[in-house]
Amino acid sequence: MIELFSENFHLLSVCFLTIIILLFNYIWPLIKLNKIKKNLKKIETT
Amino acid sequence: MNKILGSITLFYHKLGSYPWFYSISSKLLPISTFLAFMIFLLGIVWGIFYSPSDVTQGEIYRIIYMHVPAASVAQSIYFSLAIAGFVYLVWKMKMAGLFIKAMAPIGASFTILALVSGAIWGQPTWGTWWVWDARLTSTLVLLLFYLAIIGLYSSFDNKKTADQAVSILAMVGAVNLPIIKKSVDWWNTLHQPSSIRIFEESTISSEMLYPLLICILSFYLMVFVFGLMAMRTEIAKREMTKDWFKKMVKKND
Repeated sequence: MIELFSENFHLLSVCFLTIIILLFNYIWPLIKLNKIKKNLKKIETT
Repeated sequence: MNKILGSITLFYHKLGSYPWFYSISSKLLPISTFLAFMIFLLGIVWGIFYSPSDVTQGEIYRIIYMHVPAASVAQSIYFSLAIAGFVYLVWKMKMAGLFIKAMAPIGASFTILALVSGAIWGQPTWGTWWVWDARLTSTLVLLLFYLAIIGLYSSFDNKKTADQAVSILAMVGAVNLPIIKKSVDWWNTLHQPSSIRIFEESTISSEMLYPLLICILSFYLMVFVFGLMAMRTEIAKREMTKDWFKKMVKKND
């Protein structure tokens, strides 16, 4: 595995980019939704 | 026949309801996320570690397991935006406008992945990061359409006007989709013709094709998951002052 990636920097960089884009698409809406819910709870309690 | 039509109409009307969608998506998300992740893991591990090397390209060809699925979903998402645009303009279904707003950034991100992974693949195989050939240029135009939709939406304060404007733009941009698909046949391009064919025999070895198909399936499942999540967030933004949403938040849904 290490050999495959160390000899193929191009492949490694595409793998990283794919993981970053997938994680971004998963985490970003979660953060935004939780922020909205938190704000709503704050407003409800005050 | 009437029963089928009736249930389709009922589903269509339910789909237009924010509370119904928010509630059903929270039930669908755990299983679809698990499925998408497991299938992605299977496809990517099979493709990168267990499929044979390419005779001419060696190991670098394995970029195909990310490049092709990304390009495929990027085009499919835009096609779905064009359909949603049509639905919004004809039937004024508010969920269709919300769909365009939620899916455009996801489509843009996958187009960026397709373009950048293609450039990284092109450097060692073609000897250049970028050429202005028909496939690459039309895919860049696709990205510009996505960015235009995102930009146009945020330039309006009124959500209805914004939904209308992006619906028109989404439909206009659909003209680019057959150009992307047929660019390698209509013009002499550095980009190779498609290896996966539906009506003819594929030009790619089956040992490479199966993991590639699994990767493509997993990307579509992931787009489904990301789409559900983005639409839930957009619904929350639009409905945060409504009672049904406050009740959902209290129930921790």
